[in-house]
Amino acid sequence: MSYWQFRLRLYNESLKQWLESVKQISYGLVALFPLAVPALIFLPFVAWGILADPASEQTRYVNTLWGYLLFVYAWMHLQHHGIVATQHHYYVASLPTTDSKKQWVELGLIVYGANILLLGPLYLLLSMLYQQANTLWQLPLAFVVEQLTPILGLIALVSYYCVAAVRVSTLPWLSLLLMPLFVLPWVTELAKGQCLVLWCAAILVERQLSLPRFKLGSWPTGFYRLQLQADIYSPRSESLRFVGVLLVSILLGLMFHGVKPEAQSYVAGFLSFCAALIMASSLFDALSLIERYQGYFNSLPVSTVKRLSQCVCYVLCKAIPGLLLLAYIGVFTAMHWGLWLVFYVTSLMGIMHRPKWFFIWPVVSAIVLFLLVA
Amino acid sequence: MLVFEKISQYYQQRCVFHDFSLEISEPRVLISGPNGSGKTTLLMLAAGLITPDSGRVTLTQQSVLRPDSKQSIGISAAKVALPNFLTVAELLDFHAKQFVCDISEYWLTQFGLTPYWHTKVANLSLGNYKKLSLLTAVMHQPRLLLLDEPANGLDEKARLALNLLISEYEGQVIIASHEAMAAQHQQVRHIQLQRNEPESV
Repeated sequence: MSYWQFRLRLYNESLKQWLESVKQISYGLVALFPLAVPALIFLPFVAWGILADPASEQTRYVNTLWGYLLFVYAWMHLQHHGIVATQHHYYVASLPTTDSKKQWVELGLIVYGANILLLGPLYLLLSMLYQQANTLWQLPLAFVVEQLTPILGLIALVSYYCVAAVRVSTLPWLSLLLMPLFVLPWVTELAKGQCLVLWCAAILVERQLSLPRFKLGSWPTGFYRLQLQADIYSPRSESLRFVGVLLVSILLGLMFHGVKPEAQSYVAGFLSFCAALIMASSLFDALSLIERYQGYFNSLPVSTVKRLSQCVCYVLCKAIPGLLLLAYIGVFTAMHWGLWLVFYVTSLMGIMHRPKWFFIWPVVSAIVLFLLVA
Repeated sequence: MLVFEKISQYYQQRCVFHDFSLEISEPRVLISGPNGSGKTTLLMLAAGLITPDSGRVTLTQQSVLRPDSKQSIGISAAKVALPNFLTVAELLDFHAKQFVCDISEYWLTQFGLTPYWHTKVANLSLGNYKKLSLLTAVMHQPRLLLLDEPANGLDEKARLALNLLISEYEGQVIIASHEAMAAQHQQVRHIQLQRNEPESV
C-alpha cells in the first residue's frame, strides 16, 4: 500500500464512521438521503448554468454563488477530519514522509473530496475555451475577460473554500455570512466582476481579523451553562446546522422569487418544514450529552424531568438565530410561522420519543395540514 | 545525542515545561515522575510528533521535526493511535514500505503476534495492541527508541521479550514508566520529572 492509498483509506474510514454516527442518530435521515441524491446531483448543474453565464440576473447570480460556496465549504468541512487524518494524526506524523509529499497527497484528497463541485466548473471552463478556441483570439480582450470572469471567479473561490475548509481554522464569518447577508440588497448596483472582487476582499479581511473571543460571564448558570460550554467546546454540529438553515433559506428563497405567486406559499411552507427539522435536530446533541455523562448527571440532586426540560429550553434558545435569519429572508407570512412552530414542536416530540424515526411526526403533521388546507 | 534546548510547552494554559534543557547521550534512560509531570509529552517532543511552543529538539544535531529524522526514531505510545481498520498484516506491510525495511519475523514471533496476522487492529486485545505498537517502533531499527509505559497490558512472555529488547537493542532506548525497567543494563540514567504546579491564587 502506498502513502496515497493509505491516506485514502484513512479518509474513507473517517467518512464511514461519520455516516455510521448519523445512522445511529436517525435511520430516517439516512433513508431520506438517497431520495435527496438526485436533487443534490442536479443542483450543481443548475448552479453552474447561472454562475458561468455573464448575462445572468445579478441578484440570482449572487444568491446562487453564495449558496454554492456555502455548500462547498460545509461539504468539505464535513470531510475535514478524514482528509487530515485527525484520528491517526500522530501515527501519520511519525512516518518518514516528506512535507511536499504530504501536501500533495492532502491536495489530492481535497480534490477527491470536492469532486464535481470543483471539477465541474473546471470542465465547464475548458469546454468553453475549447468550443470558442478559433474565435477567442479575434475578440477584444476586454470582452473575453468579461465573458470568462464569472467562471474563473467561481473556480478561484471554490478552490479557496475547498482548501480553507480543511486547512484554515478561521471560520468564514465575513465572506460566507455577514458580507452576503448585508450586500444582497445592493447587488444590482455592482457588476459581477465587482462582486467577485468584494468577495475576495472579504476573505482577506476575515483572514486578518479573527472573531473576538468572549468569555462567559456569570450567566447562564447550572445545566444551561454546561450545555453552552459543551457547544462552545465543540461548535461543529451547531455551525453546520446553521449553515444548513442558511443553505435551505438561500435555495428556497431563490425558488420563491422564481415561481408564480400562487406557488410561493408552498415554497415558503416547504422552507418552514426544512428549517424546523434542522433547528429541532439540535435536541439530538443535547440528549447525547446527557447520555454520555448519564452516570454523573444521575448522581446530581436534579430530577430527570427537570434536566430534560432544561435541555428543551436550551434548544429553544438556540433556535433564535435561525428564526432571525428566516425573518430577515422575509418570505414567511403568519401562516408559515405557525407551520414552522407545528413542525418544530412535532420534530422535538419525535426526537424525544422515537429519535431514529423522528421525522415521521413532522411529515405526518405536514400531510394532515396539507389535506386540511386542500 | 538527543538534545532538548530551552523547551517550553503549554497544554491548555498549563505549563508542562518552561525553558527546559536536557542532553541525553546514555544508551538507556528511564524517565519517571508523577502523573501530569510531562513524561509522555517529553517522548512526543523527542519523536517530533508535537512542535514545542518554544525551543527545539535535535537528534545528532538535526531537528526531530524533519521528515528524514523519522527514519532514526521509533515510538510506541498510547497517544500514537495505530489505524485500527487495517489488519496486522496490512499495517506492518504498509509500515515496512514507509520505513524501507523488512517485517521483523524475529520480533513478530518474540511478541507472539504471528497468530494475529490477519486480525484487524481494532479486534486486538490491549496487550496484543501494545505488542503491535512496540513492533512498529522497533521494526526499522531506529537509532532512538522511545517507549511510553511499554509494559502496560503485557503478559509474562511478552514482558520477557520486552526486557530482552531493552537489554539487547543496539540503539538508544528512552523509556517513560512508573515501573523500574532496564535495571539490568549497565548504563541506565534515571531522570525524575517534577510536576509544574500552578501558582496558587
